[in-house]
Amino acid sequence: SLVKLESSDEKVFEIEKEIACMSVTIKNMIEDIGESDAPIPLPNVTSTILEKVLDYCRHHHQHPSPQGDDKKDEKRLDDIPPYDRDFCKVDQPTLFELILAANYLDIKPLLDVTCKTVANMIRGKTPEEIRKIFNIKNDFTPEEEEQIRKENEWCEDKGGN
Amino acid sequence: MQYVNGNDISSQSIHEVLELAFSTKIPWTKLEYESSEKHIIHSYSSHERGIYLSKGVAEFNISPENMYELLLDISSRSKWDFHCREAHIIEEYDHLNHIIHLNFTNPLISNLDMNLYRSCKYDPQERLFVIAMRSIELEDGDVDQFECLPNGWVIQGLRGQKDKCKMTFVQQCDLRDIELQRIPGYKSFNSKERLEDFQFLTLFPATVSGRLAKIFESIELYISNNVKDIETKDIRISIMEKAEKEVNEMFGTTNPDYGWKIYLKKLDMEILIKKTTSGYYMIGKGSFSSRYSPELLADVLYQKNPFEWDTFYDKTKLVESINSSIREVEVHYRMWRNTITMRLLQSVKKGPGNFSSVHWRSICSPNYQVADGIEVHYLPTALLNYGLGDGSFTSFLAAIEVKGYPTPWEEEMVTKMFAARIISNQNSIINHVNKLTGGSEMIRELPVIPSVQHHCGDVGSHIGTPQVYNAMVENFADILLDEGNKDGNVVSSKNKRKRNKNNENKNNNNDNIIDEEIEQEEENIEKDQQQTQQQQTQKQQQQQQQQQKTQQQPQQQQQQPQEQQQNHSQLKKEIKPTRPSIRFTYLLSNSSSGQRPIAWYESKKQPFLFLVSDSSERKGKIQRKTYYFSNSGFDNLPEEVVQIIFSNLSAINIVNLSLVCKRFKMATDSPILWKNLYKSNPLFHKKTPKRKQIIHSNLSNDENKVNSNSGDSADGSSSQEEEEQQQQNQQQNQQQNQQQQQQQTFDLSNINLNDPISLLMVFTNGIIPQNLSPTEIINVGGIVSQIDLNDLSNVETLIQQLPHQVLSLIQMNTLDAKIQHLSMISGMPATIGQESPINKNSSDNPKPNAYNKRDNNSYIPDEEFINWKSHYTEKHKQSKRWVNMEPIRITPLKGHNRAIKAVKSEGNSAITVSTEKKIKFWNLNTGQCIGDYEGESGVLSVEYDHTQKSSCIWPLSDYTKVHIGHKNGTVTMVDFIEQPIEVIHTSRPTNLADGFDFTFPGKYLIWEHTIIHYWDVETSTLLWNELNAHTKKITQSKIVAQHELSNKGIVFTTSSDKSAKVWDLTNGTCINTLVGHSYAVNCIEPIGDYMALTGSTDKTLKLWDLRQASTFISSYSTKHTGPIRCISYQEKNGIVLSGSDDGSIIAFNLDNWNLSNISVVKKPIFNNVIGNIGTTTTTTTTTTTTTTTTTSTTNNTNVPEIPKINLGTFKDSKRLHNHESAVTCIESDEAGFISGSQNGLVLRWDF
Repeated sequence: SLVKLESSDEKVFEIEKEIACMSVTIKNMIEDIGESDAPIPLPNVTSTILEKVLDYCRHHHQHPSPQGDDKKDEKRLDDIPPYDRDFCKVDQPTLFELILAANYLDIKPLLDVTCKTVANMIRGKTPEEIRKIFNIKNDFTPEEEEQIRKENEWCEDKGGN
Repeated sequence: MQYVNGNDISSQSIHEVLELAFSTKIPWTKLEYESSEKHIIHSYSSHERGIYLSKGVAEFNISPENMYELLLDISSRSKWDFHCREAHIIEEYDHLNHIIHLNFTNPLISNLDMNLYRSCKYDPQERLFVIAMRSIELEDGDVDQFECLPNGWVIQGLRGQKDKCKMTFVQQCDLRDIELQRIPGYKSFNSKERLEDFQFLTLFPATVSGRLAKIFESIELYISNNVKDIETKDIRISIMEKAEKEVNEMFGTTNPDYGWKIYLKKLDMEILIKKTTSGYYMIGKGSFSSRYSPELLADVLYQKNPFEWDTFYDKTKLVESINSSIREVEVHYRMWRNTITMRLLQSVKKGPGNFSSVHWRSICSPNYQVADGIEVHYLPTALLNYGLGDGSFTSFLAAIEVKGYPTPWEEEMVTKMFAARIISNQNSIINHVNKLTGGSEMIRELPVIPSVQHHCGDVGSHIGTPQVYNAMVENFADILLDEGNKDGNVVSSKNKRKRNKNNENKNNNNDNIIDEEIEQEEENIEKDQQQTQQQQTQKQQQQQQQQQKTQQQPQQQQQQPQEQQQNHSQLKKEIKPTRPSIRFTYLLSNSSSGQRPIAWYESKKQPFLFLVSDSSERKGKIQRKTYYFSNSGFDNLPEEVVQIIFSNLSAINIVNLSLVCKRFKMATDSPILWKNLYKSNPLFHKKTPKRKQIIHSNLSNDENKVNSNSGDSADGSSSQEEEEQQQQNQQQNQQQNQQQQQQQTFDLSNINLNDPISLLMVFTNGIIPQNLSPTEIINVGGIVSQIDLNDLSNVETLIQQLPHQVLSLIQMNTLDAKIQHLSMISGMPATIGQESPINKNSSDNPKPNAYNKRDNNSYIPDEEFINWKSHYTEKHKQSKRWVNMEPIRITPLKGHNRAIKAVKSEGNSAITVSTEKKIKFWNLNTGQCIGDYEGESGVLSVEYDHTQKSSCIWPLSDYTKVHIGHKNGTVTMVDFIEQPIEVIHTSRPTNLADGFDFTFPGKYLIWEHTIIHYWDVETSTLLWNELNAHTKKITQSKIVAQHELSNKGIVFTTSSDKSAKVWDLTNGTCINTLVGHSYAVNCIEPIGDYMALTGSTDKTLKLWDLRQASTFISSYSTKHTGPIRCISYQEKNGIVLSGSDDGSIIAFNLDNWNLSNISVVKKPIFNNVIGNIGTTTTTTTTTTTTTTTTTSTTNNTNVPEIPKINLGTFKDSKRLHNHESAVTCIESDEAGFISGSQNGLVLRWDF
């Protein structure tokens, strides 16, 4: 069966219920209201993002990843499957919006993979580089910075990994 | 700098204020000049502590409740404080915690602004109120030169006098601030004036007029003029009013903005959860409809026996009816493991209209703990009944805060219980109404969940039982949710159907959505649309009102939509005769619309977190956390998502992130992050060959018992799983041991015996009782301060008087030992020095201190109290020091002049033996010799007796009895805790000996030249002997108990005949001969369960698989230039230390051990890699490396085909040369090692 999802900019998407239910939030909503023709409103997600999210869900619905993989908590760079890696090759605002959408819609694999992508952007970077990448303002006073540096001394000569 | 939860700051401030107000330990000086008949002023200053304190006490003709209200109402401060120009609340966290702003002016200082973090605590029952304040920096650069340390008011009721109270005002100040004249208003004083001149000055702007007495006078004046205006009002009434407001806000909470997530959702019930840095919040919402009127429901819920209807309350008691609609009750509420006792305030409201509500919230809870380290607090909770014709619709909400870091399983249990309660609520309420009214509302009889204690007995002792309970809860939930429930009238939402959602109108700025549930069959869409339009217009109006009134009249605001909704439903009811049910859901609109309900947006967004600087300059200074929002993608990410991102990164990256910005700094300080990093860091959990845990107590028992213990894993092959299982077993054992250890060796050396709380910690094993009410703190302090360290006879009686939650922390069976312990240390000078309480708290975290914990078992502190970040850093630093062989400290143990024969250590004590017949006992904490014993002939071997713990509790070690073996064959046992040291036991199994092994007490292994004996002392029988164990002199012999090769144990012997042998301890049969060294074998050390490492005069170390010992598995040419004399293996760190005649000690790191390979591979290759050569070593060592890799070919036995499997590497580090003489013995533990040398030098190396 199909369900209708309505993005914040009032675009309606039709999708198989089973796929939509990869989102725990949508699943809960459907359970809550029962079968209905009315579109489910997703006020936190724009149509561009929703479209991407649905692409993701569709792909993973067709290509279910082998179960049990999530149990391995080895955090490695290369454990992002190729599709997901390509999926996350988007500009930064989109990536963050995807994270927000994944969080809101409660799609754990998508949230994991997007978060990992951001983590990969951070990995091995200096604080200054991180600030540049994400456009973050340094709000420390020089003294505070010095203090944190001191606090972090223990880690210093460990090679970046 | 660290981030601290606001709650912690609150409790510290309050604790400090109470301590200042009531401590009997402060030598106050009464200031006659200041004091008058009505008020007494004291002061105290200490240069040592750098602190100036003052305290004023006065009585007032006003009830303590009113006094509290008066002081709490900061906006009225200017009414009584003439110097206060303006005061207001800047930020309100809850009804107890605020940030306030004060502005003062007086002739001395023209204008002074201060921001204070104010925390309150009260116990209405005891009529005790505390308001504590300390300065807080709100913004960067808002640097106030002068800082208020915690100061405040303590208001007490007077017994039998309702309208009188006693008020104590305490303040403290850094002396430096006075000396540097940082105190505003005192600039005019000359620094030459002595401190005493300042005595009658008070330091706080509240009283900058100069005299502390002034503040009392001004309050007095105000009260005498206005006492009639001050309405006598019970404080609890305003608490309830605030609770009602808060709970109404919570009804509007939903996911996912503000971090709320749906945790569980079944039918009409939903549980929302929100994680914080210190635990989580849960909100449970549900609704049901019934045939009873709101009025009746309210009556039932607010009947004489409070909470009688709730199946989860064990017992309840009415404490006091405050007025007709508010009361205080005490309830024992079942929540998973424990029954929580708490005080609740409960209020009832009927009307306006056909509406009733019951609200409650906890006020002070004597016992919140659900399980170890997990606390549950009740936040405002409500039940709202809306009349619907002849029935009513009830909507309820319960909120709790869970503090601590429960394991996922514990979290599940707590949540399930909570959910079960929410689900059962509707049934239990209706059920109860039925009972009372004889009503006919059909309802299924529900099972009552007994408390786990009733059900399974003491949970702590059976790990299995909670699962049973778990299943019960699950079952319970299932029954409630059973869809097959055929009873049409069962109160359940089963026959509730479709809900039509009126979604928000995005163009309008509406924030609230009203969802409705309406009957299934019907629903005229057109009608609905009309309603929607109606609603929308109403909503807009309502919203405007809301915006205007949010803060002032939230209740009214809440009621409006309710009434409106009622109209609605009545309207519908006319259409359909069946009972409709209606549910309110205020959804928060999406963030892009920019409009959020103000109340939620402004407060409650985060658990309050503050920055505390721990620089020496300003200890404990707090700052409000502020983030700068830039234009970054991170801006909109909720905190928990940031945590998910960061959790993918390694420590080095986390550290880099902490330097990016404040928000990241805070996020990277998250304990959960570091806990995971700690647990996943392979360096901290090296896969090194490890021995199975040996249970020392078994050693003394029969052989059979010993056997049974190792039977389960005696199988020769060890698969990966087994290995893991063993590790798990080990961990379990370690945890048990660690618990025991904590009980017995809570480190007393740093205890300040003059501090009641520290003293109390002696009895509670270092746990500070949390969540005591103010009166209880005073009580506890009072009781503990009565403990006279010179006469400990009354301790037991005093302890019995402690409140039960403190008492529960004390184990009565260890009390005697503790008292004894205390008497031992009380002779020691107590440490002086007042630490800032925030720092004090952090130092209470059991950091893995190299000096405190030196035990074979890794010290895993109680997780609850771990500062995971510092735990990680410390561990990291330590392992780095080990790898690089850079001890933080080398302590010489001075006293011996001749060659050291043996070194043994246990806990923080050590024994050394030298050829001058002397034995010395050492305190490794101080490096001092604590005892001497002179043997009757040359002493060869010593060993702690591990079978019985010392008769005294001794902080340095659990075992103080020692076996000593002499050259003339005599074995004596002494207890060195006795002074003078006395001999407990002597025997002489033989006439001549070269060495002894005392692993099995009462059974001695003795070797002499080529002979080994195994001797039973009690029966004076020779169990077995071997006269020609070796063809040349035996150099070392050693028992390894409970070994793979023989259940009971094996014996190693090494000899000058270039071989080493393995014997069965049971009968003395030779199991194996290890041949391969080209010169004398001098020492042997077991590695893991079936390997051994030998050291030889040929300067090599060889590794053997004892099951296949025809040849060694690995050989290693060391950088030693002389014969290797001794080896010590530290399995926890995976480090082998070898000492040589050349005077050097080399450490080898065992890396990348793949233990599973050993069982498969018959003759694995050795893989030697030299790395990290210390700066002191010469580069020539690299050439040795290349030769070592081919060493195996020098072995003349047949070398079969060797599969290329990497067993792991020995990586050597720099040589330590400090001995300047042949190293004769090494004894290592996790934190360091002790080495002795030919010239009599003993060194303790700490890492």
